[in-house]
Amino acid sequence: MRDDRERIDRAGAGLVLIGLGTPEQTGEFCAARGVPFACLTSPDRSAHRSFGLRRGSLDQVAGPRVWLPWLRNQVSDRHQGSFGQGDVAQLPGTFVVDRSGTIRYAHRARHSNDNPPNDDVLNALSEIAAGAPKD
Amino acid sequence: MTPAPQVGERAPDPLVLDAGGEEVRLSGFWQERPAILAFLRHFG
Repeated sequence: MRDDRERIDRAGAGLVLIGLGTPEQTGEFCAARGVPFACLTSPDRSAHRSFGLRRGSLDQVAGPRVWLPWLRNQVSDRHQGSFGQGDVAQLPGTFVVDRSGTIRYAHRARHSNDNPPNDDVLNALSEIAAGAPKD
Repeated sequence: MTPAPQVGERAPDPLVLDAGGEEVRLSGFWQERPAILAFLRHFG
């Protein structure tokens, strides 16, 4: 996680987490775990929907593991079992957006354990930093 | 339903809430530097 954090920092990017709980739950979650990133929430799922993230079927959401690799050390397994404060059926997603507001990378999970490879995210940041073409 | 935005297209700019309950535009997080947006399925 430290290496990834350094690569994100080196690329000059910021990580923004968007959850589904109340603002209070969001603040408590991030404060308790010392999450060093922006912590936001969209309790009505409107932000998730706007990026095309849907609620999954039972098969798609049955996996209990946390999907975001660099949060694995931050989030306990016990917490992952606490589904009362979010939406277990919501499928996660990861996007990289450049300063012009253009989407440069998109990963919409097909199931709950469908995590984007860190390298893919970091490569997208490297391309932005290098001013490389989008493709 | 609005089509899912694709790579190369403009990112949506929804209102979200910060931990203090204030409404903020997501675009504020990519104006100064690129942003990795990680949408979680539950939080808190």
